[in-house]
Amino acid sequence: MLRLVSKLLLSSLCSLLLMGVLVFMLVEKLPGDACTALLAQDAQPERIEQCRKSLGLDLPSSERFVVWASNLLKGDLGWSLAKRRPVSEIIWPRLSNTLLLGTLAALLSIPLAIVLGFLAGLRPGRKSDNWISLASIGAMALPEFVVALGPMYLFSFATGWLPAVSLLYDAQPVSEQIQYAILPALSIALLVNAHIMRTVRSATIHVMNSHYIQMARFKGVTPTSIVLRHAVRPTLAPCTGTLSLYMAWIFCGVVVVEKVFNYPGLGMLLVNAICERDYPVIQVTCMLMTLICIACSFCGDLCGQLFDPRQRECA
Amino acid sequence: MNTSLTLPWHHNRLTVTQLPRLCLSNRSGRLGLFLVTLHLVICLSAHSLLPFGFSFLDYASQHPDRIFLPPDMQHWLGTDAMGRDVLARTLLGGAEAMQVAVLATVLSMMLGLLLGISAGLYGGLLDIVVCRCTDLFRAIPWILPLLMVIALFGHSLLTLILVLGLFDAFDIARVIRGATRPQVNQDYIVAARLRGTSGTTLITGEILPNITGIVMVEAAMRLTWMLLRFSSLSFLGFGASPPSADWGLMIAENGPYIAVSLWPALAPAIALGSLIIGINLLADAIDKALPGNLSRTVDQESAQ
Repeated sequence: MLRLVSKLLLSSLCSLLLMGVLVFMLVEKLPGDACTALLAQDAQPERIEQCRKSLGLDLPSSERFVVWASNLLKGDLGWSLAKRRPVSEIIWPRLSNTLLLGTLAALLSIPLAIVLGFLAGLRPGRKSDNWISLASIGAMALPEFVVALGPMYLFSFATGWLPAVSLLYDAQPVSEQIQYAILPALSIALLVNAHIMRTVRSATIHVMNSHYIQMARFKGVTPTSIVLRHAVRPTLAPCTGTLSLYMAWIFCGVVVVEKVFNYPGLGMLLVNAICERDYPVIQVTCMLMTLICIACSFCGDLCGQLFDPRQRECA
Repeated sequence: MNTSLTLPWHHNRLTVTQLPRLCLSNRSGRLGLFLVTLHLVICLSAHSLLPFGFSFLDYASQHPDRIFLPPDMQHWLGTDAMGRDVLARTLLGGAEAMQVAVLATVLSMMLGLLLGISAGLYGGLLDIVVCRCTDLFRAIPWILPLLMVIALFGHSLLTLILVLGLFDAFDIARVIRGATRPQVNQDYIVAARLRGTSGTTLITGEILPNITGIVMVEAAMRLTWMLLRFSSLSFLGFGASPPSADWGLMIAENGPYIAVSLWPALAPAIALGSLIIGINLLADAIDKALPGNLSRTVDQESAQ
């Protein structure tokens, strides 16, 4: 058990380190640096040299990477070039917004998707299965921003129940934030539902056709008992890996949905930072999102190997 | 002794000339073929058929403000937020997305095939590298690395094609590797190796023809994803640039006004959705027509 956790943890750390090096190197490769940006265009070379020395830019990039990474770990996230404020001040409210949105979306989607996918997979080819499959194909064929416009039209323009765009400000109480998060969360839930349902459905069909389920049927086990005692665990255990990928997507991949509702999450922060060429913010946001993704896949792998001994043997 | 050799390709082999027959063999395939052909014809001919261009402003109209006109005889689907004809923009709006998606798919499939077949065939270090890279890339949503590269190199169409193509290559390689593995131990590969066939011939002449079905289904799926991704990027403002007509861009421009006028946002959404459903139906038709064991391999890979 301990060996399992440490092995997974080690590989996660390796991935994180690799991404850190990539993020750092990509920005390094840009022409110019902080000094050429800060000083006037016709600044003397000596001034630029002096500035580089004072900011520590004359060190080799490997040393600067170590400094950058250790600063990140210490919580010193650097300064935003566009906003002239510490990045940490900007990023923490965004992170809490994203966590609120993601949690809400996960609660709305995952339990429902698992149940529906399971029901569809138990009776493939029946009417209920056809409807569920049709809905999931529809949600998968349309781009995220079109799917998001549906709830927006229905619950905001047509009925006026919920606000269409977010008007969040910092340090707003959660009870007020939730009304802005419901519509984006619903859109994300619709999208994720389609994918998870399909995965669970095909896993259920696979398990229900297996020999041990047939054997149970021959022995005269009741259908309810077959489903609850024999089919649920082998169906859901292999799905944990996929589920964790979708969790990562719910937290970090929903830039487009955030844009539709103008929801101030991490994704919108990244998009705005790209438009403003605010590289410190881009670096930190990318690292934070990567961290969330890798944490999700770590949890997924761990759960998968705990609940599904078959995966342990392969790994 | 020769009689014990299995010659597998009689069952699994799929040639390009068989494609139309496969697609027409069931109802969803016919519908898919119709939708995709329709889009291709529109994409190629819309320029010469339409009375308006994608940025044409109708100054002769009787309506003073011209924006968000309801559908009438002159503008069949009305006009958008800038007073441009919605139908013309919708019909012209797919060309750029289709170009980018097709080129990116071709690039990613070529790289993925090369990596995947080599990894499956030779195993060893290459195999491990491909699998680990796929794990890393899969853990992170596609839009994150894409936005990172866009932040650094801008969003010219060439950059987008390269990034979209390169990013998917490892994922495809994993699928192709899964399809190649069971072939490697087959007698015909052993025979080809004993004959002294070179690596290139082994890949292009022996393995590739036997996994054509999976490759085509995979390519169709990737094509739909590329279309969706390019549209999403356009929607965010990192794809097609504003004056040009592009479905994602049109929805971004007109989406906030769906309460005023539905068509300017709905028409491009229908166009994009129908193209993607068409490609998916075609892929399904090919998948269904394949021998069962092949299609199941694809399903398992994508479920994992």
